Amino acid sequence: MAAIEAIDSFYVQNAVSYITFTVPTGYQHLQLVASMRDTETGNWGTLDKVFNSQTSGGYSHNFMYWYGTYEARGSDVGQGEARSYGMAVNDRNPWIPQQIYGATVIDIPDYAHTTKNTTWKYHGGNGMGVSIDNTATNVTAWGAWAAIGGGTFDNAASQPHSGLTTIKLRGDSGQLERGFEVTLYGLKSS
Amino acid sequence: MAAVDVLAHTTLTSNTAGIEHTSLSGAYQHLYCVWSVRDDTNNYYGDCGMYFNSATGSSTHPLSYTRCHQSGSLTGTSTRGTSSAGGGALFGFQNNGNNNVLADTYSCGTAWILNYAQTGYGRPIILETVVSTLASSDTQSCMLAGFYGNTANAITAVKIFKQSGGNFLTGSTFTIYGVNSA
Repeated sequence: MAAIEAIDSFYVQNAVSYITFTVPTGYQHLQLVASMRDTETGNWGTLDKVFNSQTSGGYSHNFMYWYGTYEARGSDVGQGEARSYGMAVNDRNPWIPQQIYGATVIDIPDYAHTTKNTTWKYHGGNGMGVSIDNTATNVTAWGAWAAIGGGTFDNAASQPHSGLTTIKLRGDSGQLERGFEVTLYGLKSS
Repeated sequence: MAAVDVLAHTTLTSNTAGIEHTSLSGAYQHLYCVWSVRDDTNNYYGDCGMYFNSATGSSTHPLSYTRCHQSGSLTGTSTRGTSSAGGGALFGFQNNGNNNVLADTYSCGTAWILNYAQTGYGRPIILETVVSTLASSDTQSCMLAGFYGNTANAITAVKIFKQSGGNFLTGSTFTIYGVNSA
């Protein structure tokens, strides 16, 4: 049996608000690989993960990021979802043309562990598809994005932690656009 | 042949100074490592180290890195270092420590070690780690490009450990995969 198996994949044909993976047992680690774009408004977007249908808080996220010539760090604490940046957003069209999708790889180690909090790590971003003109007044660098970060899920109401059984994926708002594609992989340890 | 095979895995059942996988087969093109670690540092993070072939501190097994690293409320910065300043190991990345950080929270780490069994060349390393907790301040993110300067020996052993001395805590895990070429 292969050490890494594709558990399930989704390809969005028509825009949807969310998609949900059912997470089986039998693996040590999980990895999500997504090509992503959504309809939210703003300069950038996140791919949000909801673990075990729990949206009542307990998610934190820290990251460093770059867009254009700017670099910074950020954090989200006490959120209702596990965030990861890099979603291409339709609101920045035409600076992020319709054919541009963000990419991310998200690692979730020891997802079935019964005493460790669920954590994740990711590296994601999106290109622009056009040349950056930093002399323009419209700051065309907005939209291009790269980030690395991760976080912790610890909801006191759900303790002791029972591991992941479902992962719901959505944007911060709007819908996942046609062409959004994601695969959940399971990594074995024996 | 499968593209990826499990070469080794350890889940600690007691506090231990590090996790080393030895006698790794040389039959693959690359190694891919995944770890989830917490150590006994009296801080929210602890410095982690990695070395190969049980040869820490040896001038014939040099390691170096360049990284972009973010700590707490500070914006990411670029730094670099060599194993001569790191006790002979690759360093510059972090684990969750055991103080001022949410209980039962472990860091996430991954690393690619390319062409690990090929002699005559140094071996490049791509590594990422994240230290997280339910706070905006006590966190770290690191992306690191490393290099193993030894050209004479295939990598047959990989160890991760708490660089400043002390233990990884029970529940820490370290998995190594062998990744095939076509």
